[in-house]
Amino acid sequence: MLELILIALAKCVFLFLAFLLGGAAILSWVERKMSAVIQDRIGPNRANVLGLTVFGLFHPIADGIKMLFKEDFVPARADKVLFFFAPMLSFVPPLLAFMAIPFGPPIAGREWLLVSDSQMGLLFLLAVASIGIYGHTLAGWSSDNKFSLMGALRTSSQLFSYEVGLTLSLLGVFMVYGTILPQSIIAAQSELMWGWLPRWGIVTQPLAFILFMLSSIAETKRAPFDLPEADSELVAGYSTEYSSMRFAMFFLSEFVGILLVSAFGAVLFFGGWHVPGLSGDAWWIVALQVGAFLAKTGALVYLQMLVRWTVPRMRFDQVIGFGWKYLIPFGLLNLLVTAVVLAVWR
Amino acid sequence: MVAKVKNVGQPPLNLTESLYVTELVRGLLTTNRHFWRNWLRRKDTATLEYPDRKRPYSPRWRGLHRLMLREDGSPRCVACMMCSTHCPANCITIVAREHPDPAIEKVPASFEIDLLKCIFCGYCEEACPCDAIRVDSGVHAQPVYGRDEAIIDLADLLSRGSQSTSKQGGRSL
Amino acid sequence: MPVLTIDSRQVEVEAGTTILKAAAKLGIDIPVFCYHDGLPVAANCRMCLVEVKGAPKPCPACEVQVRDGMEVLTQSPLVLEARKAVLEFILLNHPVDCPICDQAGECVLQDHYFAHSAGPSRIQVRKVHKAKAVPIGPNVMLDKERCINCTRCVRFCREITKTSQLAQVQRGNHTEITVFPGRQFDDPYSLCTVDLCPVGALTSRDFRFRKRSWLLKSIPAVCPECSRGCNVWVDVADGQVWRVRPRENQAVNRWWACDQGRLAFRRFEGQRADRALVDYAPRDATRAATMAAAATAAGRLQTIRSHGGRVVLVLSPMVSLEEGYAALRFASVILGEKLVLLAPRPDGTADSLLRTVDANANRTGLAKLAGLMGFEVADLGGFFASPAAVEVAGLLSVGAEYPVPPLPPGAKMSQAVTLSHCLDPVADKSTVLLPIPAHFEKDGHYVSTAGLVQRSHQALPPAEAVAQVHSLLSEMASKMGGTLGFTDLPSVRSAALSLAGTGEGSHA
Repeated sequence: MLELILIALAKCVFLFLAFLLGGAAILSWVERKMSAVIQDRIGPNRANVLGLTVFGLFHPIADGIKMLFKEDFVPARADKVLFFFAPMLSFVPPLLAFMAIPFGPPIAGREWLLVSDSQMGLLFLLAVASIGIYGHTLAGWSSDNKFSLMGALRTSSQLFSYEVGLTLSLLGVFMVYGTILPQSIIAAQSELMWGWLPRWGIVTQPLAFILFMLSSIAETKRAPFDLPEADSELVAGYSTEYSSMRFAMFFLSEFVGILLVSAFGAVLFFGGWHVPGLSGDAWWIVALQVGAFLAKTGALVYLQMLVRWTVPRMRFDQVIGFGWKYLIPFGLLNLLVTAVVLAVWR
Repeated sequence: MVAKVKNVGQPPLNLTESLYVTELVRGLLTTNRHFWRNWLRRKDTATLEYPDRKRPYSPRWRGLHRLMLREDGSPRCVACMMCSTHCPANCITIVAREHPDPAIEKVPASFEIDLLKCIFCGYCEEACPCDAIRVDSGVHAQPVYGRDEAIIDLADLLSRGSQSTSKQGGRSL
Repeated sequence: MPVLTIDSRQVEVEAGTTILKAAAKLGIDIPVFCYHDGLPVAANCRMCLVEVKGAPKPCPACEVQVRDGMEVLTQSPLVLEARKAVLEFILLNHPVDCPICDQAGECVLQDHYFAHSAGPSRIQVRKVHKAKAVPIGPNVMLDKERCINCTRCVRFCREITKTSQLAQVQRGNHTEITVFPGRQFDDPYSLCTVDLCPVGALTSRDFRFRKRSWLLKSIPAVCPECSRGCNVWVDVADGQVWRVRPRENQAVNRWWACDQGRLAFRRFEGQRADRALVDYAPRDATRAATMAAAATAAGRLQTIRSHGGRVVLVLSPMVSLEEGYAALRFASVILGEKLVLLAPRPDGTADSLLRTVDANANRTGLAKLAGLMGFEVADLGGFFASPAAVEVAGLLSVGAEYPVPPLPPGAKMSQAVTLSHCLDPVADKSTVLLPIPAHFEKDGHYVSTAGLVQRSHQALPPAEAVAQVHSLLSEMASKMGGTLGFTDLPSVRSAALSLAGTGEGSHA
């Protein structure tokens, strides 16, 4: 029993704190630096420790320190309790959702690199991740600010719409591999088709991948679907009244969300930690597989960032219309075709 | 007069453009190309990291005015008012006074330039018959708290002065 | 009368006319340095050389008299070459220090150089240097280098003022103008030589280095210093008078003006009345405060009047016809007086050229105007010595600058309201002082001692608190329950001039 608890604790520390928080902090630097480089600028490079700047990598640290020492402002007529809990409610669910993501293969028959080997599988992920909507909605509601409220309303309507599309896009994958357990999906994807092509989700469900990427960008509220925090219209949307570490929680939850959907996408469509032609229990093979998982996740993060700095923001009615009129019908179409093909195949 | 209106219509979209998807991919490729070009070799980056590196000044940059000096350090200026007469901004105010040496005869008692009015055109320099005023110090005008502080006086103008190579007064012949 | 041809155009002139004047009749301009209409001909500058058919060499147009059938060329190659050569000769030793020369901008040498020569100097030897900035008199500075030896100044002193204080000494290129040893150039008309000097050799010590000539704006006015009524140009810039020059008027002052009149504008520098004083306490320097002070003065005069007291008008003969008319009208309508006391400035020194004994600009005109309006004119000093003065309780003085006579013993005088432009002894004795424009700040008519009505234009705007005499008196009249029958300056002017039956330039 004690052993189980210690192992769970170790997993939390290494996977959650090191990977997620560190990753989210670095992503904030990646976002700034990447946008700068794409726009022919230089980007953050002034923060230094003893004269070293390391491409501006100290900026996330400087930002963190700055956030810590900022005034923690609460609007006079805010709902104090909800105002207090809202950032946590938006920050914790994406972290929890990671429990269902395997970082690597089972080692010696035990899931060392998967926090929770639950029978709910990826449904757990979907269920938990959608709780974050409450955080944003309540933040906007409790701030006693029109901009915040508008942002909150946009968040809830947008996320509810795209949650449907997201789930529809996943159903095809679950049908193809016949399971909702992440390790089983990855194992099914490691088989080869015609002897050379890995049976990755991107091959079997290409349309689902496109739908998944579109709805996951909308889920993380990033351009071109960043209407809830459209700064040209709503100042900063639901987080307008937030400052200090409370704002940092919203800020980090967005980056954790990016990591989450990227890891999720890697598991579903790119074979997770699977590297074609590589199997075994040797430590270097495991290390390579974990590296492959991180690389696949990183590639999807890069794609999301690239989209953000390429595509301008849509209008809100366009966002909702796109979700209901195109995403969901295409998801249903994908489901139908998959079902017919599977029925004929077997 | 009726303003001429030129209608610039939007060009119609062709098939691939109207699908948006191809244009979206093209956009992604463009940003992707910029990313890798700039990330690896800073190819298109035009930023100058200002405090560390400075852009060289144009050779035509003038800077603040200055008044040139005679051999003994007194101003070459004879208060002829050519500069203030020519000044398109009317920023030069000179009050003349008598000099005890009849060979010099006329010198400025005060020489003030209102930098808020000055447009740094250099006409004063062109008009000067004595090579007394020059607009070539290269020194920036400093920001000030009050309008009065933007008026530079004789002492300030002379502090940037130096000796001219030309002989003053034409008394050699 | 002889008929001659100048530049293929025929002209008929009186016998004895010079070529220069005959050409001027045709509108042909011949450049000159030494010639001046008011001075005897010297013909020493040679700038006016013209070609006369049949003459062995070019002739000076200013001196040669016309002959019947004469053929004159003013633009022939020979004439142009001669002008160029003369200019080069004159400029041989000229220092060309135009930047520090006050004459620059109104210099005949500069103008002729640009019009007729514009070539570089070919001189290869040292220029002859002479004394610069020599103060030869109280008003005139001499620069011997710049002199082109036209002798206009020498001829002026010899022929016009007959003091002969200037002379030419030395020979050749060492010739220079000078005063006699141990003597000053203190001619009362010495500044006329500054005007006459075509270059910057003679400059005014008063105007020296104060303003460049091209920055000045000239306004025609009449000199207030004596009853001659000399016509002058008032040169102003930046809201200030810098110089007064004579304006040619053959009927009055010809081309001349005295030094005293030219420098008169400096008389009240620093002691101008620029705001109202009530019981010696200054009011705000605003128009409203002045009008409030006028109302105060009106109230006090009204109090005197309501107690049966007598208020007498004192009129300075320095004021214009318009101001005098407004004051006289106020005296007759509001004060019910038929007596006006003229308070003149003390007599000055007269001379044979221009200056008159009477130092008041408008005594002739105001005396006539008062007579036409049925006033009895008396002298202020004489009236104060008479027993009638004891009964006077108030004085309204328009204009000042007169010596204040002692009050008669037992005088009942309680109020002295003065409308004045300066803080002089009259103002010191006034219980209410109302500021009015000084001479060059107002537009008005003056009658010279010869009876000529002349207009002096406004050269400068007065200070903010300063009000015109007619508006001050109108304000006071309305406060005292009466009306003077005019509202603005043109209505005052037309009333005054039609009463006198005169217009500008006519004899009153």
